[in-house]
Amino acid sequence: MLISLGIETTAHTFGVAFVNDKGEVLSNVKSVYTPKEGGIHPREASKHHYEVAVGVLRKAKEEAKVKMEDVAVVAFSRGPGLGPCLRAGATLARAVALKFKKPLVGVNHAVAHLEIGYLKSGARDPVFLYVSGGNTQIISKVGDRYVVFGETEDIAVGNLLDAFARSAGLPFPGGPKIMNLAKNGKKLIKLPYVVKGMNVSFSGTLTAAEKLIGKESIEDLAYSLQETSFAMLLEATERAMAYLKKEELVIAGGVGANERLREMARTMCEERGARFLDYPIEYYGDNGAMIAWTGLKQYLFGDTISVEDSKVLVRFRIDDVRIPW
Amino acid sequence: MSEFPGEFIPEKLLYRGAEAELWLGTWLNMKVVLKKRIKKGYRVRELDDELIKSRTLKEASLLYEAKKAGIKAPYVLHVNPVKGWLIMTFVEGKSLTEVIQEENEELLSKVGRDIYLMHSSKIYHGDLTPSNIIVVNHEPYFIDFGLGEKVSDIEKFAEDLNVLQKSLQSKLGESYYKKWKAIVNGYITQGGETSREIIDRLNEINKRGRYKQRKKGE
Repeated sequence: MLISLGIETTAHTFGVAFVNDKGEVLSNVKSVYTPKEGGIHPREASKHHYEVAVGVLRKAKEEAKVKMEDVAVVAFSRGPGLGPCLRAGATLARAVALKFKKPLVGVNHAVAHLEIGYLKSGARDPVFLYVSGGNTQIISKVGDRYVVFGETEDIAVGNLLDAFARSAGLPFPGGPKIMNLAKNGKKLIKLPYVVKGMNVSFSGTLTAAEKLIGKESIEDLAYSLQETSFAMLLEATERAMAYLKKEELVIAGGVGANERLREMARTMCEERGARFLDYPIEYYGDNGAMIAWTGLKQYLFGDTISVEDSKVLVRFRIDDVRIPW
Repeated sequence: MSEFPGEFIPEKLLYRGAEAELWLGTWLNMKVVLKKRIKKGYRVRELDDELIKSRTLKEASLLYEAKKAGIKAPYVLHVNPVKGWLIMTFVEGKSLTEVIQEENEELLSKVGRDIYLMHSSKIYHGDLTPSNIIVVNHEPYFIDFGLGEKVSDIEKFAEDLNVLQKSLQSKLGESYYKKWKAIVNGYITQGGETSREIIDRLNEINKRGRYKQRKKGE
């Protein structure tokens, strides 16, 4: 039995997990940095990560009931992400790899989101809607690569929700607060709806919604913002499914935790005779398990790196990664 | 069960896309195509109604504008924006994809000329693939303005050309070059200086693509 240790530190989340080669998650522990005000400050977040690192690792190890000797490989999130945050995780991974003489694997964060989606949803050949604070992409596997078929032309959908929440004075994290406020929204306020083929654009929607803060109720604004932006995402996604002739949809990334988005995805798939494959919420947002699982696969295909060559890649593109499995 | 406009007798479903169904049938004794936009249950009712209405109207008006610009396109016979119905004359021919190998440069030059006429009237087609160009008696007809827009940004016009160029490239392989040159010639002969600007922008877009690819290999 091979066991993998995964460390995720791309942005807010410091996550550590142990996963075995059957895809069983033995533990999945996280500590999330919460800014006191405003958006994420990379250096502040990395400070948090260094502070909690050892404690989170210890807790994950205890919950998994494993000894470091039993671990086959140490995987860390190599990018894309915020430099200082990535370096916090890389530093811990290198230290563990050197101390216990374990091979090191650098994992692409976006690939990891999709791989855990594959594993937990049981999908075989899906279209992925990858939605988080920093990413909005429609992706599918072609040959040995993940190919981006559609994406946002400006800001990510998570960024739209977070930025609106900040402007409205809602504390971090904005996404869940907007989801709950939206449940009491009644009136649909017209906001820019911009879909171009398989691409979307949210900056106009954000500006329009921000201008209405104080003029319309926050519940109606939250409701309209969600309905408009999520419908845009699903329209572009449906077009990609039709174009690629795919019958499965998997959502990956933190915005996937939004109930309304998943409900809309389910409806869209049902109406076109396709399947929306859902999985437990803890694997949507950033987590260590996705890094451990993807790292283990890479290890099995000999994709390890030396500590000297393990510098983080802030702009690590998903289509730069060859997927041999 | 599908609902149809009164007097419309469906014959067969030509195509079902993500956004619309295309039905062949007869309407007031004419052979017509009905484009039916599909209601989306995932969108709240008000938003869905609004999108269906505005898109149906936009497509009808683009078809009208395209004809006014002097290019051949289906006639709009009936519009019901509330239901999302558009009835058009049926353009009976073969798509450019099917005939491009046997057609001569004259047709391709007409294709180029007409695309310029469209662009000079500020119409961006939005999905200018060879399957949306129908050839009838060696004359090109343009269909499916569903993703089109009225714009004045030359980037969009270059995008139109880029879509056509890329799909010809992937369909024809090396032999595409001569065909594409004939289209560009028609475009420039009609458009002069302005069309050259758009072709320059197209070349720039192509370079961006190559740059991206080179970066991947680094």
